[in-house]
Amino acid sequence: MSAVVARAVFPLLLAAALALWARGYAEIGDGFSAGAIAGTGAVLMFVACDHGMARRRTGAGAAPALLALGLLLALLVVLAPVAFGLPPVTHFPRPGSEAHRFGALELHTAALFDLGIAVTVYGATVVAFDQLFPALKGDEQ
Amino acid sequence: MLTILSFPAAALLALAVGQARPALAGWAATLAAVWMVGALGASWALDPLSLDMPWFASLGSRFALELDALGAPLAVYTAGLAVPVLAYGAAYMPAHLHEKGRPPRDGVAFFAMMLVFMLAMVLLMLAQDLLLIFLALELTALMSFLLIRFDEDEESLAAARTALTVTAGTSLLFLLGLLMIAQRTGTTSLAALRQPGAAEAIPDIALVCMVAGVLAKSAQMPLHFWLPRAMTAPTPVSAYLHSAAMVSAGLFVLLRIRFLLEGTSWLLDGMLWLGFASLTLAGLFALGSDRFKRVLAYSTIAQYGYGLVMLAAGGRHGLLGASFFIMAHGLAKCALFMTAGAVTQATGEERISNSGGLGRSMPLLALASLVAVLGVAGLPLTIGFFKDELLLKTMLDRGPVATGLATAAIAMTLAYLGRLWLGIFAGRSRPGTQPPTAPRIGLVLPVVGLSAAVALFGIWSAPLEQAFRAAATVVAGEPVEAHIAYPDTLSLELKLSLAAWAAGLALAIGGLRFGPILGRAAAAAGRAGPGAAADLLAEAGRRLSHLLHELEVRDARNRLSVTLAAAAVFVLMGIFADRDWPRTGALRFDDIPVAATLLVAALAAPIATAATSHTAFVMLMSFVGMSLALVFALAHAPDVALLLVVVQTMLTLLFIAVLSRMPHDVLMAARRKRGARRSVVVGVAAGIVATVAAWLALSVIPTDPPTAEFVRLAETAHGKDVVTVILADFRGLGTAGEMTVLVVAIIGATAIWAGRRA
Repeated sequence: MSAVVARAVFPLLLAAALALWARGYAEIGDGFSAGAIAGTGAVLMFVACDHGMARRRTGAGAAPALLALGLLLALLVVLAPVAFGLPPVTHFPRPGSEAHRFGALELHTAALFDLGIAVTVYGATVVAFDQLFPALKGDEQ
Repeated sequence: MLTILSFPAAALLALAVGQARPALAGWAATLAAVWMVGALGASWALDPLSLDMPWFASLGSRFALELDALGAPLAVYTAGLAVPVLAYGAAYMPAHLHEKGRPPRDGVAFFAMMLVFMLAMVLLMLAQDLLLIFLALELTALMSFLLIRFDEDEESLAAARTALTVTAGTSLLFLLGLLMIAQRTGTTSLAALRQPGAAEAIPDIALVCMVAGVLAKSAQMPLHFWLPRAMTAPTPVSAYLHSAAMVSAGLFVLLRIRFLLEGTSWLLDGMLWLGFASLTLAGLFALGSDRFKRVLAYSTIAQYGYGLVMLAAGGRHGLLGASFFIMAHGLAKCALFMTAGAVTQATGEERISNSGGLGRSMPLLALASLVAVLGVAGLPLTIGFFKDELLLKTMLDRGPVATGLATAAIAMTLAYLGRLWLGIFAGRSRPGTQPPTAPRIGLVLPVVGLSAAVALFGIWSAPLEQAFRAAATVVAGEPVEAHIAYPDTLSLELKLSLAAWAAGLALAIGGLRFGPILGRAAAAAGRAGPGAAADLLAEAGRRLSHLLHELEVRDARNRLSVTLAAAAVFVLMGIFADRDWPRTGALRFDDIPVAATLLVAALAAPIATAATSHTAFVMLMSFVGMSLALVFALAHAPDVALLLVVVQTMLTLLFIAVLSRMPHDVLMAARRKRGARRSVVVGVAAGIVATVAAWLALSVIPTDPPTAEFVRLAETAHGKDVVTVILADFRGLGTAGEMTVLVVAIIGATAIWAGRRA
């Protein structure tokens, strides 16, 4: 029963995380919260479901890559302006200019940076629980 | 900018090739070096690289890199010299690793460190800010340490420790000097310090610290002793770092900051006599040494004495000579180190007294190394001739004593290098030694290439004059009228040189006999000199370190206690150092729920230390975390409270997962350990200090809090959630740094965990 609930809740939490990230610049929310909420969904899966299923549904096989990709994305946003002679962490569009919107999401490089944070936090949570939970549940394989 | 970014990219590509095919690591590194020479050369010729942006504003520092007339020729030379050295390494390292019983894969790390060292040197030569120069110097010292200890035997490890202590330790003096400069002038940017009147506020002690900090890098007496010991490193390291590149870092930095020293003639005089001490004493020690690489190491100390006296004496010839010297010496000396390595690999011998007659079996190497010997000794038709000419011209302006010492030094150079060459290649082979095998061509060709350059620039000096006159102009701050050319007449300098060469040749032949006597004198000086004092200091430091280790880092509990206690003491010192006792606010009625929740959390934390069952411990820790979430909810920050609940839930599960792997009595056993109660007391005391500090800092809300500015700026930064804008924009660099730490920690923990499970 708990596995069924977890499987139903997980996509909802992922959607909530996506919304928290997208609204982060206009309303309450940010990449860290988004990553933590998505991570909670993953933890729920590891607690409630069979480890193999939790791994498949949460993308645990790709989690180390997600961890690296999130960090790379954030570092790219931070350092790429340096290649064009600008100080690090120069975001676009610059203050004073109009930003395009896509629903609640404002197309802004800071939102990209936030996405990097969200992906890193999610990846870190999944990597940690994927390593530790087989031990807790006694099913090493 | 793209040029700079291409350097690490080329190095990483070379590393990736090396990882895939270890046998190709050396050649891939050589190609990366060729790329860097090409990129630097193209930038110098077409569009000199220039980058300047703010950095460490509190020190007035700039992240300023420029391929200027001083840095450009020397950066191209330094990267260019890496090409033959790495090519030599590609042939040398497989046999070296095999001899040491190590796998070929270990060579990949070796070449990676050589490339990082080269990058650090190029950074040093482009840097236009004292802080950047310091960082580049530290990086060279670190790479030198890692490369000296590469063989990981006892001798290498001891030599590496000495080198690190001297070269990185004295860099701290340089740091002290630059901090004093930043404090007095408000900047560490060389461009700003060049402004009229800007350097007047600099105290002399700051300049002394900086000069002392860099002289050790060029192995000048009395901080020279690390260099002969560093000869335990594989030959490519000696050939690149300790003959040409790292030792040049000190002299180069002195060239960069020469304009700051103009007003302190006593300091320049001191440097001059230190230079003379190095070139005389190290020359004598070189004449007395028996091991090939030791002769060359002492020769390097003596030769950098040349550079130092020219820089200190100044004037048009001195400044041109000091700028040009680095290249003139390095090309030839590098070839000689590689010769020593090739001979040792072919014969197994590393001492002059056990060698001889190798010219017949190694004619090409003998000829090429003879050109290099003549190059360092400054004979005509080699690049070295011009450095000795400039030295004598500088010293003739200085007076007869300086001229006499310089002439003697030139004689001594030919003597000890002549003795080395004659000892290896001339005469008959020693009875009872193995018949020599010819060294592999991969070890000979780089020597031939460098010697060809030594001879070529001895004939074709026009491009050198053009490049290094421009370099000396940067050092002097005005056009320098001096030449790198052969004299038209039998000048006084030439007559002095002729006399010095005749004396040097006689000494070289005689030196084969009286060398052992000088060798004993050098050994005695080694036992009583600054090297011995440094050894005593190092031993005392080792004992102190062992004692502190026992006190501080015996186990994780102790480490935490020491960190907390130290933090508490420093915070208290900060509070008491503030003469105006800070005003504190009153506890308002509205705050009582928050204060009560905090108090409950504060009481739960020490109780957790008494828990003996895993469940009780996890519940208590979870209670502390949830109480803090409640504090945020009460303080009108529901989003932070929600986030804390989420994070706390995950942490609780993690705790359960980790503790489930532990023996059930682990907490009980921990309580019985030595110092357990003391740790609890320290933790509680540190908590009380933190509470006091937080109360002092936060109980009075300023009328114009700095956060108001964040709120105002958030709107212009296209955001409404101030916390998000601060994290992603205002302090985005900090957030990126924290993320990097998180990822590295996760990778480390996962690796440890995976290791345990395996």
